[in-house]
Amino acid sequence: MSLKPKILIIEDEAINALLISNQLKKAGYEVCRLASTGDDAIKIFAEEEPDFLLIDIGLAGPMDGVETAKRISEIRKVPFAFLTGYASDTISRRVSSMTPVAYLTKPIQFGQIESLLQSILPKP
Amino acid sequence: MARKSKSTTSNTIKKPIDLQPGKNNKFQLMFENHHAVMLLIEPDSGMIIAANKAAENFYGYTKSQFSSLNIEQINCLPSEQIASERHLAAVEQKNYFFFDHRLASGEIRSVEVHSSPIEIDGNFLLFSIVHDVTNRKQTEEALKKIVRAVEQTSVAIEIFDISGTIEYVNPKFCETSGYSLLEILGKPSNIYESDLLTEAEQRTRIANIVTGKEWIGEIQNRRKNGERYWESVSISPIMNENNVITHFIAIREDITQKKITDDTYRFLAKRSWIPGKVTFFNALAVYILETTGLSDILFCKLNPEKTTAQTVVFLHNGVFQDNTSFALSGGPWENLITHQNISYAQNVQNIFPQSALLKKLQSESLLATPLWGADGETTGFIALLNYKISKNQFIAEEVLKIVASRAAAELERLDAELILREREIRFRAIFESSKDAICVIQNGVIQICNPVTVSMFGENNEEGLIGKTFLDLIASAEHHQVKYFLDTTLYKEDAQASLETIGRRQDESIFDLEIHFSSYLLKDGLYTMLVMRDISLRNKMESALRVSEQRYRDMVEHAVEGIFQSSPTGHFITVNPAMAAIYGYDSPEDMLDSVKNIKRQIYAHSEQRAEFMRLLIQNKYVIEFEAENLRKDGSAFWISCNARIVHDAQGNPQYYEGTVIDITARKQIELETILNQRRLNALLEFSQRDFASQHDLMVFALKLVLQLVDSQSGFIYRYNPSAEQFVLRATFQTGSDLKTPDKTICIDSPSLYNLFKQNTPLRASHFSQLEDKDLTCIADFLQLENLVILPMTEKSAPKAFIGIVREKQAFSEQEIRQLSLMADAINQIIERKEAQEQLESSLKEKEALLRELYHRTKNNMQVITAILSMQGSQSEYPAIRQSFKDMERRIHAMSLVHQKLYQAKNLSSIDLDEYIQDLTKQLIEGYDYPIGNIAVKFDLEKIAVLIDTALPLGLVINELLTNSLKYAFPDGRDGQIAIHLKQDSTAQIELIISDDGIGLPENIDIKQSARLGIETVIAICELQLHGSIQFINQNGFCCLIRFHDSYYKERV
Repeated sequence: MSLKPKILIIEDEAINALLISNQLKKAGYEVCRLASTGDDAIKIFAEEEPDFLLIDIGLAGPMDGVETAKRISEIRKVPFAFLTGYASDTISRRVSSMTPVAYLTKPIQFGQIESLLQSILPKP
Repeated sequence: MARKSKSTTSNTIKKPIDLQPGKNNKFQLMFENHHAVMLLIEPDSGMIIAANKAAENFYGYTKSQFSSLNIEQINCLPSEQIASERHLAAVEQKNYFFFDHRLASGEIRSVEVHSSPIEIDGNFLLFSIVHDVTNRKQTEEALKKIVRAVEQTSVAIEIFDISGTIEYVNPKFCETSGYSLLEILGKPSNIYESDLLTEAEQRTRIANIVTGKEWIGEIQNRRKNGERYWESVSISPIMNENNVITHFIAIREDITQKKITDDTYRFLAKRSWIPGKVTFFNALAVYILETTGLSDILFCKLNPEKTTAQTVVFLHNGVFQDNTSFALSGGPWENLITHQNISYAQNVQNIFPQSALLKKLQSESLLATPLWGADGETTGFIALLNYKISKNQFIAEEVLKIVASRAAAELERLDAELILREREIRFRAIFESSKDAICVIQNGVIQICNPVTVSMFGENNEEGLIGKTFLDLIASAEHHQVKYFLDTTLYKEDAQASLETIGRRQDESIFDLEIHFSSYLLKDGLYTMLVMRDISLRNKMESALRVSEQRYRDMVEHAVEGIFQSSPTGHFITVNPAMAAIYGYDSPEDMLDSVKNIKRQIYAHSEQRAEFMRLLIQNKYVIEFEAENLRKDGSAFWISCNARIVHDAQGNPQYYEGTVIDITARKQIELETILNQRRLNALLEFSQRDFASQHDLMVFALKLVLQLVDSQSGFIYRYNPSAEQFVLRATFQTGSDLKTPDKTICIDSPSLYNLFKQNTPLRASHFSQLEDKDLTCIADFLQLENLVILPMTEKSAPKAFIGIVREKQAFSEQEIRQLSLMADAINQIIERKEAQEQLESSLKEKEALLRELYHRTKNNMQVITAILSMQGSQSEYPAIRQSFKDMERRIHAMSLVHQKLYQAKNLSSIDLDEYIQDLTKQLIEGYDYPIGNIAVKFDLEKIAVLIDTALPLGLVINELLTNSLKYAFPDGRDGQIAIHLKQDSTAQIELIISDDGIGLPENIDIKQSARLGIETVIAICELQLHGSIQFINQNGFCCLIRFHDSYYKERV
């Protein structure tokens, strides 16, 4: 496949989203439109059919990152990673039912994302 | 006949007279033979000298006898008379006399004596010729008698010749007609011209007269003065010896009086008055008017005092007037009624000018007669008045005389009639309008009955009853009894009785009837008058009354309220069963026997009784007086009493009576309600109050509890769990000294502890169950009078307790219940207050922490900024230095947010307008490149935004402003930056940052620009703020941002 894997970034802090997006683009990945809420994420997910999700757990609004992941996985199972600001979230019961590929704590080291993606998605 | 002897001193004749025939022969012969009686008389002595033969024959004396006779012996008249005769003759110059001479036989004969003196032989002698005029005299006398008769008769006589000319009328005629003789004589007899005869009558009269027949008639005539009178006239012809009528004689008798009398009596006898239509007096007035022509007639009745007169008939100008009354004074009336008979007055108006009546009637004369009653008292009068002087007075007088007594009688009868009629009317009125049925029966048959009788027995009119047997009106069942009653009791004169029976109406319906009978014996038999009354209603009412009385008695007996009567001396007169029950007595009799002194035995508090009595005496009654009374067993309870004083006829208090109800339950509810209210009010106040310290809180709580039950003193202990002891927190006391308990109490015994860890109020009785050793720590308490302890617990562990005491009156169950509720509520309030305090303090803590956090963050950011600054300034390359400066500015924008937060009261939002102002100022001031004069125009609304909005927005504003400063004003030109911030009604915030600089090159698409700043700005506006951003590249550069701040929830 010559198509670049598409990544959907779901993050409500615009600067962080922008940063990751630029880095991914630089690394040769395709990035969907940025989603800052769960609703937007679901919409963009349906429209653009990404291959991987980067989900900020602490999303503002009625749907947090966990809920968004749940809802999206009901539509189609896609590998994703949680981005979290708090270390303790990892042990939260709420996330235990989900099976993310990884938990990444902020500030995100880009190398982490890259190596993760490389392992999960084939790179052209 | 006695001879008068006379002593004569007569002149005796000188010589005897020789009367022989011879010398004087012729004379002697003449003398002797003359037929006439002749005498010669010696004048002085009266001796008869000679008498002729005729004399001898006449007298019966011989000559020789004559010679010794004196004329006086013959002459019968006494000498004085003779003398006067002579004198008379001399005066009248007549020479004859009339004498009575006695003959020898004694017979007396009337003579006419002619005497003349003669001289014979020198002797003066009296030559008398005597004529025997006896017959003539007799005839004369007879004639004279006739003439006298005619002259003096009471009838008027008129003699007229055949031509009708009056030749003679007698004095009576003159008198009657009023004309004098001279006026009448020669005048034609008015008989023919009488205008009071009809023509027919006149003709008959004339005819009769002319044919020589006698005519008799009654005519009315008029006197000279116009007065009318009646005469009975008979006219007869006078014939001479040849039976030729030469004269007529009319004999007129004034029959006026008789006629009037007759007519009047006829009038009285005829009874031309009709009772009810024409009264006697009316008819009499008309009669008088017709008879006398007088047109003003008054018949008057006097009042008993004889001061006023009331007319019975009042005729004026012949017309009946309305009856009137007038005072007697001022008129002729007073006088006339004192007269015995008819009185007459003229010029009455002038004499009695005050009499309005006389004036009105224009009366001139008055003719009146008083009328006498049977007792001789004047009862009235008849007055006839005329406007001019009466012409027919005497007719009127006659009439009045005749009618007077009859009129008087009629007057009396009139009175009597009036009275009778009045009585009759009155009786009729009573009879007709009586509310009772009245009827009169005779021999058991109804004679008359009044309207009520008709309606009472259901008839339509009287005819249905009159003639009916009375017993028909009685119900058949009662017939026998009523008949017996009538027969034995009633059919006796003057009997009176009453009976209650049953009446029967026409429609056979029956009703209770009460009859009063009275019988009277009248001339036509025994009458019984019945007065009847329908007593059905009364009977009904009576039985209803009896029923209601019984009901009332029942009511009293069965009343739920106590009803009593008590005496002023303090014991009960009567009590009903409810009263006895209320007070716990077995029966009313029991109560009456037992209670001898109400004051002591009934009233729990004497002052209540005193108040009751005071009110009762002052107001005469008492309503809803509440007091605590005692039952038979001495227990107290509350009653409400209504009472009044009953006075006797003199106004002295006789006894009291009233009603009593047991209001204990109500009282309790009232108390409960009051306590509830008090408690709730107190608790409300307590919960809303802020207390400076725990101690204040405790004291206040204690006060409230004490106030609730009017207690004088109490205390409150707080439990210290670690020390396992209660610590005194507050005491409060009023009144007498309270032994202050120990400040701490150690609860050693578990059983005591158990008591305190429950929420139930504790009293002496609770502690009595414990052993003495357990009670040592609270021994002091237990001595307190009426102590109640209210434990307050938290989660089954003791927290505090309140103890209260009250002098004299122990706490009732109600009060203890209320206290318990209060204590619970206080407990809860205290807990809540404590929790609140905690909350507030933790909140304060949190705030402090947060502030600290923001501060530290700001500080940290400043450190970062400093590091960047240091690093940047190390580079030689301006681009690098610029980069670092950009980074510094970005971080500074964020740091400023935290600074604002740290300073703000509200730790979750900042005022955007202040932030923008400060940021702008600091940017321009801190701008590292030299620029021209840049003015900033702020148009900012005060808008608060959350931190999650403020931070990204700060970055955006920093970016836009920095771009303006960098690119809009090259070459150090001056310029203006305008910042506009507004929030509309939908809470949408609008931020416009614009400059009037050179703007961007036209064909640049801003959004595609690779510059990080703009990319970030767009990303933040669209993604993070969920708003919109527009760039306008005209007249400089303008950026328009719109967003809502509602998305982010307050996190803090």
